[in-house]
Amino acid sequence: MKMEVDSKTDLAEVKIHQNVIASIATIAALEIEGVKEIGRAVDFDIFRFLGLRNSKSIKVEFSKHGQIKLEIPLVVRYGYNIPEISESVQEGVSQALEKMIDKSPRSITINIQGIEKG
Amino acid sequence: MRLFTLCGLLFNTIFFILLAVIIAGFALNWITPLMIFNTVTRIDQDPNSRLILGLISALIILISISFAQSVMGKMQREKNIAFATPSGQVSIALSAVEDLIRRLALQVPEVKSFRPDVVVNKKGIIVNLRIDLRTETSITELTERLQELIKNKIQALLRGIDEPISVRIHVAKIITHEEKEKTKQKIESEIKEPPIPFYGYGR
Repeated sequence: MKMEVDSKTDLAEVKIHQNVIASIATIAALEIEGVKEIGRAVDFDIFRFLGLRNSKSIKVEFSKHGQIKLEIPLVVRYGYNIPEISESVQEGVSQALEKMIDKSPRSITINIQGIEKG
Repeated sequence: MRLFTLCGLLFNTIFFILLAVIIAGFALNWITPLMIFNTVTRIDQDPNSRLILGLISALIILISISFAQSVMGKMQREKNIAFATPSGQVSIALSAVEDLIRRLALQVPEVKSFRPDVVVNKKGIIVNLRIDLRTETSITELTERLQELIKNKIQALLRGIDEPISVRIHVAKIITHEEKEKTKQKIESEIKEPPIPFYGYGR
């Protein structure tokens, strides 16, 4: 499974690990008004199960052609419009990735897992 | 299907077929109790065999848990409202809509508790709501108000999604003043007469 995205400079190749992409996406998503926190990943991961990886995470996948696919689980604040928040997160994350790694993701899937409790 | 799920499925199938073959062999007397005893004794005497057996058992546990989680994750993904945007897909877990409805309980003082269950099918979004009422109010009026409130709130939250929303309310319990008084009296009597520790042990 590919875990990094390649980008070439004049001197050499730069490899960006999926965790870096996930971090950029996390920060960009949390900056959007109405987003409370990043939710938990739904699918099973043995490292997550054993506590070796954070369960609150954004899933990053790479296609064969190096295109990025993101899956972002979110918990939103009460009183905000979910479709609007989702689109803002998609735009925000896409812009942040373009700005920082010069690559725009092919698709960003948003999973709204819950509404802020309390 | 993901490779891990596929492996899990294959492993589980092979494991259960083997188990069935052993049970069938036992039933048909191809496998005798002595054979089982000899095998178990041989494993018990050899540390390497025991280690291998331990590793196999750990593997079976991990694969079974992962398989169950994978199936549950798939079920969880199916329980959502999904729509597409130009940048990708958005899915809203039905539990998130249930959270929203639970929060609405704070806005209705007459209702003691909300137990929402949200279902999405071809007819649209269906909210099944079981409620406990706090006071003896006009149920028809209250339920109408509740239906309107929930519908408006879901529509506001999911603006842009044109699924029809229907709210079914089931009043499960009405807590009357008498019941309240009874509970209050019971609590008060318990406070007034605290149980005496070690009472009744003497002659």
